[in-house]
Amino acid sequence: MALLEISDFRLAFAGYEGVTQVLNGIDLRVEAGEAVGIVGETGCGKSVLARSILRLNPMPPARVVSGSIRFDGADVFAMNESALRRLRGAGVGMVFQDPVTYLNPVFTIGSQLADVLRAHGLRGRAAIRDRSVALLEQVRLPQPAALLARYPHELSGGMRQRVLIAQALAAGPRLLLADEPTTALDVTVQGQILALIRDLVARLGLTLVLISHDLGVIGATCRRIVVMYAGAIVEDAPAAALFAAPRHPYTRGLLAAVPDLERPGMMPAGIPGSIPSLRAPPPGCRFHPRCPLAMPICRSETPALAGDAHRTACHAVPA
Amino acid sequence: MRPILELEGVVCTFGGQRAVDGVSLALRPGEALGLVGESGSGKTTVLRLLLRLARASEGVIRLDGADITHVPERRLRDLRRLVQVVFQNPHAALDPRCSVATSMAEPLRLMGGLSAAAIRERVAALLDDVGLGPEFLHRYPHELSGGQKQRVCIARALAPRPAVLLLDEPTSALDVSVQAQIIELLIRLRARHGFAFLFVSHNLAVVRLLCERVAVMRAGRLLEQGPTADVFAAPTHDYTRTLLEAVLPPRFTQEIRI
Repeated sequence: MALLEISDFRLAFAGYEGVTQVLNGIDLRVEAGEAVGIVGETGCGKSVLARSILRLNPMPPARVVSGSIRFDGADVFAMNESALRRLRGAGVGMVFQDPVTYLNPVFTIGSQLADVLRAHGLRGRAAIRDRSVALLEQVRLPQPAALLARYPHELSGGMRQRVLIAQALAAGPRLLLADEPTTALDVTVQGQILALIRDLVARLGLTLVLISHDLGVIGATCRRIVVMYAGAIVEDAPAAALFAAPRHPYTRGLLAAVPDLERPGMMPAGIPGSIPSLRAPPPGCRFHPRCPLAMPICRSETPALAGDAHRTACHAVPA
Repeated sequence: MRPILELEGVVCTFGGQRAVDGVSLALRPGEALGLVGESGSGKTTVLRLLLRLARASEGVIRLDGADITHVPERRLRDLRRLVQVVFQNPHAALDPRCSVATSMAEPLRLMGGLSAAAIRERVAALLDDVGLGPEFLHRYPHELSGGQKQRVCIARALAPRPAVLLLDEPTSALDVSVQAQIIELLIRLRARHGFAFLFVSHNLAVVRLLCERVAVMRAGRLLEQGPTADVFAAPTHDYTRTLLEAVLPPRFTQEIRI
């Protein structure tokens, strides 16, 4: 049984201007011990997908149109409140993008860690303190005991992100879900945080799902890459294969658009056109208006995500 | 050739902190200079000093040879005709209540000396220059994508025919497929109009593509500067090396890096 199993998952948001199909039939299995990266541009649905795994999208306006998300066999959208609380933290630990907004500025680091530990059943001041210190040590923060009395504004961005990772690990999750964990950080700090994530995943035997718009970040942390476009998965492949031989025209376009410091003679090429509106997406394959390989069938039929180890959703590129 | 824009030993202090600490930098006419560094390095403050949005407490800033460090406010409008800016976030840089045509015409109206018809003509030509059709003239910012907004901001900055364009992370709020379009646009516009630009960025790969010279800043100080190819191939400063090594290439690198 896969640790995370997303089957034909469709999520829609109701708004003033009608219904938006944000996730359009996501099929994704993540086995225990995998490190999977989800990459895509603004509005492709990658963050909504991450939040769906923890049922964090407010419903309404969000509505599950079809399909399911199962964590360790249990249907996330059928869980009662107490099962959901266990899922959030003890099943899946989540790290968000902006470490500033996810820490409360008026409480100390110690009290915010204690909140999480108490919520997951730990009791006793000394026990909570010991566990908090151990968690901060685990994310390699210096002088963890002194840090408990500090407020978020006294910490650098990188230190705050380490505190959030410690919080995500507090209840001993099996899956670490990181949504753009280094986007708000400087490059040198980014490298340290990614090294920490890789080290924790290996040491604690965690499964990793890392979401990023940055192919470099994904390439440095994940063994498998899922590419999303306009609410659907267009390609899913082992990381080395995806970089060496991308199949989907969107993946190829994305790779060709990234400036590469090691190949200064290569001018990045943009993908013509822009991301479609999900309120009125193009019929058939949602990438067809921008696709260099579009054929008549692409305008009418949505391609299925086909293949085994390397899956592609494209009429022009058989799996 | 005399620099079009020059800083000499410039210091800028905020509450006792030296945000810019003795920076000397010259931009020659038509040159593309990259200014790189991490947050807090002072690169944006340098840009604000050049716009006179921040004041230098020591040192001299020269525009086309003239000392502008302490020029009175009323003369700044003349300076700003020569030096224009494009900011990082195109969503915040356009007035949501103004159409594209109105936003773009404003710098031309403020300059004076142009008839309404001449302004209209120039706005249409500039819009065409940045790859947007005349149908965009009467659109409002909320009807535009991020890339289209940044194109409008670039067109507006070029309206007074500046000698220098200051670019503050103009692509970092954009997706990579759009970023590539803007890079291509900047290269094309520079070739056509011959302006110099100062490109402030943390993205070394983009700087490598756009700028023939680069300057590296850290904690308010300028660590090194030189031709981009040379500095990136053989950095003389440890920090520059650290910055270069931290760049994650778009490849499967997990075995070899970090």
